[in-house]
Amino acid sequence: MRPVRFIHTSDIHLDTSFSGSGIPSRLGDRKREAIRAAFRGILEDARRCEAGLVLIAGDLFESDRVTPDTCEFLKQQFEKAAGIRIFIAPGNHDPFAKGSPYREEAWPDNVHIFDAEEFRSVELPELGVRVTGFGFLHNFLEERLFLKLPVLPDDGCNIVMAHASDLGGPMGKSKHGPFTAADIAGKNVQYCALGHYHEQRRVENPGDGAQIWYSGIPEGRGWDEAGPRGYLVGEIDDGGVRVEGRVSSRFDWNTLEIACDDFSTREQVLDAVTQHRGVEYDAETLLRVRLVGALDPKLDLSLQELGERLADECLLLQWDDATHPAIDFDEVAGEKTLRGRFVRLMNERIASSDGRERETLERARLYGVDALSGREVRLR
Amino acid sequence: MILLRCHVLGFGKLSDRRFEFDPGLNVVYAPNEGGKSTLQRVLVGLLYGQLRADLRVQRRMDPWVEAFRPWGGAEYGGVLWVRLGDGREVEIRRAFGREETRIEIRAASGEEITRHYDQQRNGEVLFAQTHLGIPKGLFESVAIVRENQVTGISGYEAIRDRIANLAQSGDEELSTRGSLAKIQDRLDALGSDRAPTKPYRQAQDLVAALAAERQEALSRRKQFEGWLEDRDRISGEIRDLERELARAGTAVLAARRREMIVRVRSLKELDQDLGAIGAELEGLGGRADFPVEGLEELDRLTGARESLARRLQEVGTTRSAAESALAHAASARSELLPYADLAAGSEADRITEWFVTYLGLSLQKDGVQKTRQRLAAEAAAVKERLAGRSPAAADGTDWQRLAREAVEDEQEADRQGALLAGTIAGEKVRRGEAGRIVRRWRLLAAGCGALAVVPSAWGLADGFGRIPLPYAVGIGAVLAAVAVLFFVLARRGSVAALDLERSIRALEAEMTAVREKGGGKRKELDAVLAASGFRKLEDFLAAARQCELDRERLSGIEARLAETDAQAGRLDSESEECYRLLKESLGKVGLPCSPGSLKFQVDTARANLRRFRELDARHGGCAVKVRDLAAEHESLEREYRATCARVEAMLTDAGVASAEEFRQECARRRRLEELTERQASRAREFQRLAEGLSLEEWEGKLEELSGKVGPEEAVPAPDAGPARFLPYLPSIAEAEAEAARTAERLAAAREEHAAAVERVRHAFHNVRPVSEIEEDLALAEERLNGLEMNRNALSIACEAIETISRQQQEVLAPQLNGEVERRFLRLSRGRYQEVKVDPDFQIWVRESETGELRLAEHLSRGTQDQIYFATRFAILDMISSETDRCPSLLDEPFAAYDRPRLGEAFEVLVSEAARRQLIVFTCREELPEMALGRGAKVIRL
Repeated sequence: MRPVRFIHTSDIHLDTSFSGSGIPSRLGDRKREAIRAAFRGILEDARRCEAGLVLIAGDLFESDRVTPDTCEFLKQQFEKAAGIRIFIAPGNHDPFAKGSPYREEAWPDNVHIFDAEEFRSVELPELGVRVTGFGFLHNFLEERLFLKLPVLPDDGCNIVMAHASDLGGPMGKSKHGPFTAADIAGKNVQYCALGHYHEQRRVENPGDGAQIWYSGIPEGRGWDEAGPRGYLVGEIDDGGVRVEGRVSSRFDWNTLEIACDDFSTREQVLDAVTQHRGVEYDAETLLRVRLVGALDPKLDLSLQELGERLADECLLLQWDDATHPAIDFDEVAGEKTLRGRFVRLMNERIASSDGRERETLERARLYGVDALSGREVRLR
Repeated sequence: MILLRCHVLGFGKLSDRRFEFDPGLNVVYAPNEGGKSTLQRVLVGLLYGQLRADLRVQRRMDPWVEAFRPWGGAEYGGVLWVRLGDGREVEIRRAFGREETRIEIRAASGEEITRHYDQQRNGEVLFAQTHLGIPKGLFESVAIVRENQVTGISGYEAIRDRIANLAQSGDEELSTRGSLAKIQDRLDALGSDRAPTKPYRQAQDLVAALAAERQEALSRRKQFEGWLEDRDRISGEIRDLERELARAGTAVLAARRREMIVRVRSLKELDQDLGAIGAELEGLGGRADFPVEGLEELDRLTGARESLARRLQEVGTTRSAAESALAHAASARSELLPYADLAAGSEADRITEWFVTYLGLSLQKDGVQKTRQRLAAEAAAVKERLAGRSPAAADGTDWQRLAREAVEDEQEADRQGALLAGTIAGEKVRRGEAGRIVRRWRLLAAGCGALAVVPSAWGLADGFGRIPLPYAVGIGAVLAAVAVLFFVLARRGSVAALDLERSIRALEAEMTAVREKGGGKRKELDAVLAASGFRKLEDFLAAARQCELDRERLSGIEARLAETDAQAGRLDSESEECYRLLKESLGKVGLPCSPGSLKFQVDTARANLRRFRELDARHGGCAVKVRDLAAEHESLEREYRATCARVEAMLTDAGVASAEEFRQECARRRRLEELTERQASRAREFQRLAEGLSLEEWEGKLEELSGKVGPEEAVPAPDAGPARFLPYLPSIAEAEAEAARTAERLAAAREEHAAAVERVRHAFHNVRPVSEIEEDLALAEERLNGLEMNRNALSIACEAIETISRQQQEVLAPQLNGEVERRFLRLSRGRYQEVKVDPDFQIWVRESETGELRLAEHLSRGTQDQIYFATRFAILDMISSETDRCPSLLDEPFAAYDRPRLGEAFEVLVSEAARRQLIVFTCREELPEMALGRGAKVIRL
């Protein structure tokens, strides 16, 4: 067969919300624009490298947030890539459900959307490729559909695509469309394009030579998705499948940890942050500075003021104050004074609490000790 | 712990200096800037080190470390020898400075025991804290008394506050109130949900607004889905309508074909009709100029002529009958002609009135007569009943009153008799008493008389030997005189007794008379009762009462009898007058009158009068009717003749002989007109249907249309009757109207679809994307959570501090009380016997002399100072180790004291020095003198 080049991407999450990352909406808009730009870049790359296929393995957008504008954007982009066959396997965030743009909008002819929760195949004789996949109809899918993947005809190249969860994958992520590599092995599959997990990785497949890949997310969506993000470019010919990762992300998320034990002035904190300029962050970085260690009770961090002074250093600066006061509460508790009694009482209450209540009580202890020590009460 | 000696290697201006301290009071004297504070800082530094007390992890130096770096380059540090509470001596060697930090603790044997002590995470060895039980911060605030603390005391309030602060926080300058105020300030700055300008409420409002915006955006999304459904539904409707419109077009063509079939059929029928009408017109032969318009007039005139003839005959018959009735009425009226006058006037009415009055008076007279007879019978019966009664009861006496008076008299006599009986009994008692007194006087008189002769008799018998004669005579005379006196008294008593006896008799007579008088009327009643034959007085009284009632009734009956007689006389005269008037009136119409036939005659007169009036009216009516009928007959004859003349004239004008012939000519002319009009109408209808084309052309068009529409539908023939099961076939207008309606609906649906598409396209204009709102909402919620947590934390801290403060006051005050009392009472040398510290740290003392409890603020300034120092040392005892007493450093505590006040305060130190080591740093020259005088150690720098 003649070589066929394809692009594999997934989890674009157009119109996603960054509310979980604590960034303001003005930056959220920029990030959403960046995701669009990344997706546009992927399709441009597909045209540039003369790819015959673009495989979008789910979560192209978020159904409950997607805007008509984004639908228009997608249609425009797909129309621009008119010579490329685009396959979409809807995922748990963009299921082929009632009201979904997949159903409501008229998509260009080069776009094929898998609209059933069962494997269906599309023959592409001009490319010598058969694309098989399924799409979510709801925002959940617990059935192990890969067990129902038929043995595909051994008459050409078989590409399988879906939004699915590798049961051997990372913990903590919801398991939609669960599968194992064994479910795919032995079914004449050359390449399996998956989406759902945001890390780009290949799923180990000891069963046969089928390559099973998660393309990863093209643009990071939160602090836990730091570092460069991208998509996969693959080529299939008689010699097999060759896959290459390419970076598409524009804005990086980074977390900087600063130990404050030796600081007694705000300037020291500033210096500690700015010395990482150009290395850990730049003007396009969404930076979270995590302050740790024991904090001199006389040091007034005034994070808002610090933030203002560092505002031009990066795209977003977010403080995560994880310091603890450098006060020996056990020692204070030993005092035969009101302060000692107060700390003893608060220590008892803290010991019998947890979660938010514990945090509240720890703050109460700190504020009380500050006040009883004659210091200003500085709120965290 | 006792500081024994100190070797300052280098510390500020002190270099290689050695100091030795006594266990008790030490006074370090130096002029200003002489190094007192330096030495004090050295001692604290050697004890507690140079790291900041409030940090346990960081190695952060105290601010003084750089300030006291030796001036001359000597080694920065020193050595301190101390004796611990258990008697062991320990050497502490420290090197100060950021880089040179070092500590060595050695026992007296030279063994290094540094590792025996706990270390903080920043490396600080907790030597002094281990032994003294208080951390560095507390040592500095409690064990060191600074000049500013003492000089700052301006009054009792300040002392009390400082003691309260020190007892609670371990720092005189740090009050719980102040701490709470700081927390409250923060709380106020955050605000509450009732403070709209404060951050907390603003954060709440922002979260609520964003949540509402998010909800609105989500609702819009739901709405959007509905709009999408609408758009699709309308699209479906448009497709349906387009199909419907096509069907309507076909229906129009079919209707047109049906219409054309009917038209061709109609044209054929019209053509046949026109042919038949032409043939009939040729055979009819009527006059077109016959005056058919006169037919109606002719019919009217002939009808009127016949009607007038019938009427003339009827009027003639009626007129004959009326004339006969008039003659009969005149004859009957003449028989009752005398009643004509009576009928003309009003006397007839008065006859009836008089007769009715006469009858009424007769009835009244009968009634009066009957009443009189009944009253006479009743009077006779009453008289008879009175005659049968007892004479006593019937004599008219008021026996009831008499019986009532008899009872009242008896009751009055009994009451007076009882009073008199009481008086008599009293008099009898007095009479008996008087009799007993008389008898006693008489007995005494007899005794005295007998004794009067005894001396004389004894003298005589003795020969007046023992009793001389004069004595005997004298005694006898006296006794005789006494006897006479008693006799006189007895006589008087007898007279009084007799008077009483007379009085008793008179009273008894009076009582008898009263009782007799009271029973007089009773006796009279009893006599009458006996005479009447009644046994009981009650029966007699009842009979007397009945007699009285009968008499009253009899007099009433007699009065009514007299009235009845008068009324009967009046009625008789009125009745006679009526009779006379009636008799006169009846006589005028020839009727006789007697009381027995009066009613008959009056009725006869009234009946005749009524009859006369009827006959009179009938006669008048007949006369009028005869006159009217005669006039009507004459008028009818004239009208009949005129009508006959007009009929003849019309027939002559039309050229016919009779009215019937006239009518036949009119019918022919009308048929001629009808056929002509019908012929024209059919021709017009043909022209209208043909629309300028010929029948053959229409047949050609029909054939052509049938080719377009397809197989011909069954068109019902006009006379085929209703086809019950055939489908409804609309007309062209209906089909076209239906097609137009469908086209209109299609246009409306397309408009609606365009609007729906537009609405979908602009669904999210002016609505922020949900993602944006969620991001802002998350930030706002995070801020609100932070504020809420801080609010809660501050509230908890505030509440806990208040609670603990109250508890601590209640616990600390009694402890402090004992400590202060022990010290202060010793100082007061018996002036006071008790000290009380209350939970508010108010201090009270009880004076020994008066036993009075006084607030410390009323004591002298010197005494207040003593209390202050005693309290400070007491608090130091309370918070520090019990086994190793904490030394105290006093940095120029008395700088502002005058001499007497200084003396009093110094006494406290001397006294306290017996319990703990005191090191006083001063620049006042008199203090070393005083110290030497009290055996204290003086160190001059």
